[in-house]
Amino acid sequence: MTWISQHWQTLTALTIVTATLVVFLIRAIRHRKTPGCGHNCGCAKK
Amino acid sequence: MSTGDEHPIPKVALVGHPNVGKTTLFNQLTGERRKVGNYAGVTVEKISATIYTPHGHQMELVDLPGTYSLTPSSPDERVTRDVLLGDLDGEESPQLVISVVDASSLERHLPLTLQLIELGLPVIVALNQVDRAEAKGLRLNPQVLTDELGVPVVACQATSGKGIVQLKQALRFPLPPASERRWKGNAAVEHAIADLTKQLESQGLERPEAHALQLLGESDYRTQAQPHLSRVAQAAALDVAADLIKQNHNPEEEISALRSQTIRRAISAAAHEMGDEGETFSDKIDRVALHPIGGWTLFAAIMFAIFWSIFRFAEVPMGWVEAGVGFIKDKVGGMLPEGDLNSLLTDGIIEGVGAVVIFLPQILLLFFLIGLLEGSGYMARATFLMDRVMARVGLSGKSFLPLLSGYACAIPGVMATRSISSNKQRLLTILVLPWQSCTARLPVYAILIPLLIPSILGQTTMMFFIYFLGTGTALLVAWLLSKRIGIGEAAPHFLLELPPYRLPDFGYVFRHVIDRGLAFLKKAGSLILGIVIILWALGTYPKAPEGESQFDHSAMGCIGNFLEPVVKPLGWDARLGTATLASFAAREVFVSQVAVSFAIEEDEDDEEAFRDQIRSAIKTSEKPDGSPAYPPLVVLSVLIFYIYALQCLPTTAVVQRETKSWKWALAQLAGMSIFAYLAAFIVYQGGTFLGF
Ligand SMILES: Nc1nc2c(ncn2[C@@H]2O[C@H](COP(=O)(O)OP(=O)(O)O)[C@@H](O)[C@H]2O)c(=O)[nH]1
Repeated sequence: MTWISQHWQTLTALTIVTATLVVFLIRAIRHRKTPGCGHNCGCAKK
Repeated sequence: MSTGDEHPIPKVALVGHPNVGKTTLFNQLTGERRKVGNYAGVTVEKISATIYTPHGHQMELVDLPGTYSLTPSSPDERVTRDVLLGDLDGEESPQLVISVVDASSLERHLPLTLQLIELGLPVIVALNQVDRAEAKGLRLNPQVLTDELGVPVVACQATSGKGIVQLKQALRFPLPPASERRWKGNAAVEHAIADLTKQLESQGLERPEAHALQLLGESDYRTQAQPHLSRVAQAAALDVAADLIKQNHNPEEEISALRSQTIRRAISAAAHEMGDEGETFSDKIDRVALHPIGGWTLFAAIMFAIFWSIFRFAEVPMGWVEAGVGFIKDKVGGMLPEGDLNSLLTDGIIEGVGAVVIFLPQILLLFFLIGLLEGSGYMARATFLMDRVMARVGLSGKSFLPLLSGYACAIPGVMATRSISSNKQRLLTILVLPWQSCTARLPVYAILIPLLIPSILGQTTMMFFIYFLGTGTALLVAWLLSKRIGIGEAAPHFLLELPPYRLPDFGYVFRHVIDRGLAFLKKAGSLILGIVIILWALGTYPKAPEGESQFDHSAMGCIGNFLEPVVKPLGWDARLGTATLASFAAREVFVSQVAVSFAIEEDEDDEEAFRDQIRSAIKTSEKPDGSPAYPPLVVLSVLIFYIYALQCLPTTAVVQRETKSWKWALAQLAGMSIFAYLAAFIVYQGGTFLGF
């Protein structure tokens, strides 16, 4: 109990950091297939 | 009438006067693939090719022999007329005609267009040689011409490929409907046309009204033997014409007069010359705004004003943001006891996000000014002026503004590239944009430049040179890259497409500014938040034992130490290496990082004294052997690196968002970093070699 009360700040901070990493990974995988100007389809939209 | 649906491969014919640019246009549309054959029974070459509409429909494009009118004076011209009327054996008449006209002499070219419309075929007008018309001071409005003629009009310049994409888009399915005849004659003439049309129709002739108009409008066509027209049809026409003449009407003259009248009306509505009485208010402004000297002077003045106001007027609200961030930081810091969470919230999140949000005033101001320029119609002129200059390096005139915005901050610059219609030019603009010297580099320059040059004049010159170097490199690299990735379709910016000047719609401008501001905050809120959290973690863990430097122990510090051999050829030590590495989060971090490593406390009230302390620490640092650790050459090498490196992860995140491509975003980050490394390497090693 005392260990947690001593380190709760570190634990919360590390949880936030891990969550951020997970979100970034999911995003990187999911966003891959959408076309943008990095993939020219040769059919410029008006 | 036949339509595209009944034919698997619709036929499209190019028709126009000789020398109007038909061949050039044909080559542009087909990419120079052509099939050469012969028309049945005549020794006239038939040039055709298969083309595809933007959505993949196949079409056959035929380049018909050039002709001045549908009244032929040579075998070539007769082929054109007979193909169009559907009289040539084995040749279907086309489903669509592209009437190529010379924009600089519409009076001579439109009569043929009018006749083509009268054939009852769908017509698209390719208004070619617009550059020549512009050079002659002619102002044309394709939209008005479209309304007058009842057919689509596309401005183009075949020699440079401008407008070709638009022309192809006009070819898409379903094909446009045929337009009505544009004129009405008096009762007698109209009656004669209707009468003859009915007779020809009962004879089973295709396109009866087109034939009737042709037969009545041209005496040779009804009197002289025609290889592809029946005697019976000519006899009927002779009868009807004789009737008209008996009533004191001259069919040729009247029809020709009606056509000329129609054309004069269309031209006076759609075209006027600079300086004549048709000159509009916009033209009067444009006489200055597009003047070879006056135009550029005005342009430079406006751009300078924008640039200056971004720096001048944003200063005050930027101070508010800074104060606000400090206030929140104090409040939040005060609520929690010392610890990692406290540090994450204050030093990580609030400080990190604050460092980006501080650019919000500049961004809002920039987009407000852009909105005013766009709303007033001046932006189209600026784009037009810059088009030729930017085209030299493979960029579009619309790249200019994003590049200018890049002097404030690359993020709004990248966001502003959305107005560039060509994907390749947009990508190219985004790739080179971070070389524009942004405001986040200024704190670094403020430390380094006085170390190199003591005099104020020298420092100012140096600053100017830095801006010049960044922009010059951006343009040079754009030029080199455009050779590799190709420029793609050049967006046409013709004078005649310039919108009229007007008072900006302020409601619209404000909404636009708010939208952009929110978009920026959303990014700061999500991506940038994530980045600062991770960077904070890299700088915080693993923990240093009591009394030792946290940074040296952290993951980032370890990477920095690990990098020491890598940065050694630049003349740097581990301290510079880690400070530079940390500033990949945001360049300003360099200053606080160097301060931390020299154990200098930041003085909130006296920035200049703080900078002086850092500078003297840098100057007096010595290597173990007693030689200065950071001689001017090393400082210069650092400076060069900061000019060229993309040390701004938020920019990389926004580039990824805008291009939807991690590949390009990371390639840009890596490419610019390597470029910066090599530049600093060359400067340091070259300087050492020369004995500095
Ligand atoms: N300035 C200018 N010249 C053009 C344009 N289109 C074609 N030309 C030039 O006009 C001349 C005739 O072109 P060409 O394609 O042979 O015409 P065609 O006889 O109708 O096939 C050539 O010298 C072209 O370079 C244009 O849009 N602008």
